[in-house]
Amino acid sequence: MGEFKVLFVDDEQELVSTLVERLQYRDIESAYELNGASAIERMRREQFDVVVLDLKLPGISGTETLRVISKEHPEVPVLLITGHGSSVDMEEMPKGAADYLAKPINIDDLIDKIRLSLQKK
Amino acid sequence: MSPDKYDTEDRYPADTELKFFGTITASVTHELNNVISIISQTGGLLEDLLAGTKQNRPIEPERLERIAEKVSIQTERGIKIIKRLNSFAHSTDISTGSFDLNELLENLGALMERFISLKGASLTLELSNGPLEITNNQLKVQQVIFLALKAILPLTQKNDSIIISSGEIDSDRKITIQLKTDRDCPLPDISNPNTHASRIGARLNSNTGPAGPFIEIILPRTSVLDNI
Repeated sequence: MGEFKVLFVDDEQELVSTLVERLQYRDIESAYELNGASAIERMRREQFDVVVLDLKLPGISGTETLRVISKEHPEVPVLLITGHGSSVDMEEMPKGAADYLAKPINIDDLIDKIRLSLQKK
Repeated sequence: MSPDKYDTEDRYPADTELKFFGTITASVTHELNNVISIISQTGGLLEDLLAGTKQNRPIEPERLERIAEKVSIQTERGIKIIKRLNSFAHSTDISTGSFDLNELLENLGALMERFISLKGASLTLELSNGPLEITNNQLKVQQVIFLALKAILPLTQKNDSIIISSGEIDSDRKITIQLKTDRDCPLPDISNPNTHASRIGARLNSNTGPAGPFIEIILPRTSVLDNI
């Protein structure tokens, strides 16, 4: 399959399922989970190269999900999705995040940022 | 303005009103951004598929149907969000007037739902039949309801439910915000919403019943306060 495997974590199912479909079209393997707890569980049984995580999640917060994933899988970069329309200073981002993306996400920016985060690791 | 002054909501009621308005608007625009994100990705998917046809990758009609349906659903969702936000924004038009409390709860409930779902909980509205007329300041009534909900949210956990109900008690109106949970919970701290409630002639009680803790807001049918 593709060069990397992505896990999206966001409670907007229509959004993440479409992102998965678009990456599939580019021969990039990806999957999604709708909350932090199921994402943490999935990461324990399946290997992903990168995680794209929304900060606003039901139940376990995005920040807590990031903390657990970063602790259990320090080799996996985590990109954060924010709802902010404008750019956000990385210093404002929770510790452990490789980068961030503002919604609406541009698919080419997403792929570029994933590649960049993998190179950095 | 220093951070200390900014946080002293009780000393500066206008700041609290602005903060309430900002909190609701930020939440709703976040949801609207999600709708736009889905439509944007769906449009992007369509572009991908059309580009694929030039490389002899045909598009199945069912796939196009699904895309059209997705856009239609999200457009409807967006229209509803904008209508709710518009109605909320117009609640500042008249300082004090007569309105239907049930209609207000229906709109505000939808606007507040995201705060509850972020806790992994659900919201149910159990409103009395027909309109529940009241004369008061719409924005301030909404603020008190929101602050009461905020007082219950720290006790709320995944799979709990919050039930907002309305009714009459003597000649007054009653709103109950019930946290339905199996856990033993402390009583919610209602000191902040109570401060604001007194400004519109309302009063708050908190208690615990068989289903869990709840807050009651008693609003006079016609507020006699002339400074609202």
